[in-house]
Amino acid sequence: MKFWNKLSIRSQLILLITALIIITQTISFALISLFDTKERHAIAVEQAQTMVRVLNSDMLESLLNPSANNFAELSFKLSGFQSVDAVILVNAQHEQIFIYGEDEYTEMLLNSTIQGYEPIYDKEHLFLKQTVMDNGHTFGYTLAVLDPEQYQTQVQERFTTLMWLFPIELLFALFIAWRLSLRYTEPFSQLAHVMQSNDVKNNTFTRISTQANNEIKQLFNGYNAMISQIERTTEEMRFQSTHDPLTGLLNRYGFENALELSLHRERHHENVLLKIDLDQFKLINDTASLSAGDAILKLIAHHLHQNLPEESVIARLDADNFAILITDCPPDESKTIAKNLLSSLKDFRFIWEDIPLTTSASGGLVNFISYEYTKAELMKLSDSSVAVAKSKGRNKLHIYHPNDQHNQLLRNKTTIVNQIKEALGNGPCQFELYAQTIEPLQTVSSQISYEILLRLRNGEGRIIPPDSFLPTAEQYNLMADIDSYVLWNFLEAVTQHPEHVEQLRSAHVNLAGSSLNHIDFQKTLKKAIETFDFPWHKLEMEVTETSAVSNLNQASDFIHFFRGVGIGFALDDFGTGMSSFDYLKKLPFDIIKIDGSFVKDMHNDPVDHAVIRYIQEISALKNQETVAEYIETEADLLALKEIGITYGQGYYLGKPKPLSDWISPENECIKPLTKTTPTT
Amino acid sequence: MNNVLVLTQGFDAWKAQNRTISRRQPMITPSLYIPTINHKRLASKLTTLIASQNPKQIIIDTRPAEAYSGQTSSASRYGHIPSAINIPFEQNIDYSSTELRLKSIEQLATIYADIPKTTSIILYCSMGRASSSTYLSLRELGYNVANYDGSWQEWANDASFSIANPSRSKQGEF
Repeated sequence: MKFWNKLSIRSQLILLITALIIITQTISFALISLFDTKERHAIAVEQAQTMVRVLNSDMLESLLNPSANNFAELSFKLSGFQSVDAVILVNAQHEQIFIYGEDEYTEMLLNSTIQGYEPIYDKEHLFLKQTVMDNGHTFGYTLAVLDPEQYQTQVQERFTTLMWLFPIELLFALFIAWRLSLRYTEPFSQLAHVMQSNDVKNNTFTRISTQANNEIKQLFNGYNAMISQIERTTEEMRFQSTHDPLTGLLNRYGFENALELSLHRERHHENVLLKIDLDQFKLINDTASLSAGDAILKLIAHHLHQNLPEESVIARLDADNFAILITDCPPDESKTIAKNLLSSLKDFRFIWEDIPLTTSASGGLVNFISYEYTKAELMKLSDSSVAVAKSKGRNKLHIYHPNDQHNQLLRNKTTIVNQIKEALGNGPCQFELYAQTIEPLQTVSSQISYEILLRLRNGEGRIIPPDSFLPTAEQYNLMADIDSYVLWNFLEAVTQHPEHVEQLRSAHVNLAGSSLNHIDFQKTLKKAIETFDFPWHKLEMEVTETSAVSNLNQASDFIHFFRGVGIGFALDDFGTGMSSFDYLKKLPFDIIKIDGSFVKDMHNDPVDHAVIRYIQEISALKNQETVAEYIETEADLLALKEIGITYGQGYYLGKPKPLSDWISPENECIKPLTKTTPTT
Repeated sequence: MNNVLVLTQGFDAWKAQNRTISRRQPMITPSLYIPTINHKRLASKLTTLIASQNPKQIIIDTRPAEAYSGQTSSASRYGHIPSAINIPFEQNIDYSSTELRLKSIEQLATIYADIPKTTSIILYCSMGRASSSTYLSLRELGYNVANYDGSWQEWANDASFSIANPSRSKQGEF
């Protein structure tokens, strides 16, 4: 069966037809042979009957007058019948009267068991018993043996002819079979050929047509329908694989393909890759809803289409990251386009279920010419450019230059992660705790308040500012570890100096929103409460407005717990986020820290001044204390005092200095806080 | 030859009845005559031999009883053909007047009443002439009959043929 299945349809057809012909021919030959034998037998019987009829009188004579003369005459007459091998004449008394023929045959005849008058055949001979009678009276009978093969039959002649014809017939049949197979396998070959010529990779398929109006047409139509379906589906899948279903823009895969093409164009083409990252988009998702976020993304996608040159390739890479590729765009033009775009996005207003939402975006721009970078390099450069823009604040554009300091730093994100891990572990990089004074503005107090700040000192002894490593730490989920470290080390340091703790009014420790929900941090805090003898009401946790909104609700149990031991809660950088004053009412803050940007501009911008005043008034109503940051001049101080702000913080009031200086400013021999001695 | 009739009486009776007599010599033109012999009417020595062995056939010896019984013989042997019965031809002739004639059909039927009409009959006499009268009689009566014209003359003279009453043979007498 295996062998048979391997054969082509044509071979199978030819073999089948050949087999059919051979079988029919064999059956024909067998039938002819059978008929031939029957005919021979019939002829033999007839011959024998004729013989007896013809020689009846001679036989009678021999029976009634058995003389030598009569026997001689009878023998002579019998010899005329060539097919008669032997005859025995028997009288009415069953006595053998006369025997004719050779001994071989007469013996055969004598031994035969012939009884009735029906002919008996053995292999080659026919035995026949016939009566000798006259006028209705039986005088005796003859036994005869005949050889039917002696007769020349017509069948035999035809048989011979057929045998001769057989190979010719076979050849003819094979020829017909071959022609037929050519005709009937043609559609299959055609189909196989077309299927092989299909280019699946490029989704180009060939259709097939036929004159036939039978199963072949059905097959071909079925094939064509299937091909159309495949083409459609492939096209859909190709579209889906290269496009973002939400906005209809290209996705990362589709964009990278387009970028790859632009990288391999002939030289001297100036192109630009612009990455846009929405500022605090997460906040929109959190404050409004995911559908609001989706709606904004769609609007922005539409906006990008409307405001960018027609040949721009626009993609949404992931959540709130967009990438734009503009070919044949010189650097000065690209800068204008990017700036206009960011500016237009800042003016973007969107109202979702009566909540007005605004957005802004940070942009990273890389100008490049063909073959200058690889795709991966370009993507990385644009990513780090966005990161640099983000680090400068919101709605900023950063244009990449090959000798870009920021980029150099950012490119080494992994270095930063390693440095953080070293600082959390055994060095050589180290964290150092600093503290900046928080002064009461409305009263005079002998007690001290400060905010604990973190500095990273690298292996070469250089200080790395927080804004250079905190975003990376946030990105790599290291904030809970850092917050735990700061809290633990601060408590460890101050609890060794009870007189310092005595003098302390409040210590502000920064906390990432994500840490609130982090099980490790929660454990650390609980353990710290068990371990250290510290007046917990003197501890204030500062959570930024943006991280607070999304994390406070989830961490309510934990917040309840640490408020239970007396730990206070300060809202940091208030005014920068999207939150409304509603949050001030709802959230359990003891202290509101007004974002420095308001203080900075309050002398020039009456709105900012009014905002500070407004925050102060609301806070007062809720018995919340306020802290104003960025106090850099005496004018600032006076204005804030006049508004009624509770505390002030800033360079004018005091720069950050190492915590160790705070704990024992007179004692030069204080034990270092960190594992290696910090030089301040 | 068609339309041949045989008179039941002889020429003497014809003359006695004063019927027309012709003295003219008929002029016969020879023709090419091809005989057709009906083997059912003319028996040979072989067919007679076969009939003598066939109980379904009857052989009638038309010679006088003396010849049949072997007292006289016109041939070398005395007796008759085996299985033959004896009905002498004289029984067919009406001897009541001077002019001899065949008996009437009714009379003849009485003579042969014992012989079934389905049986095929062979007749013989001494030389084939006398049996002719029986042949004609039986034909008139509608019997299936053949005349063995070889007759006793042929049969008795062939020593290979058996005969009945061989003891009465008069060897040497002709």
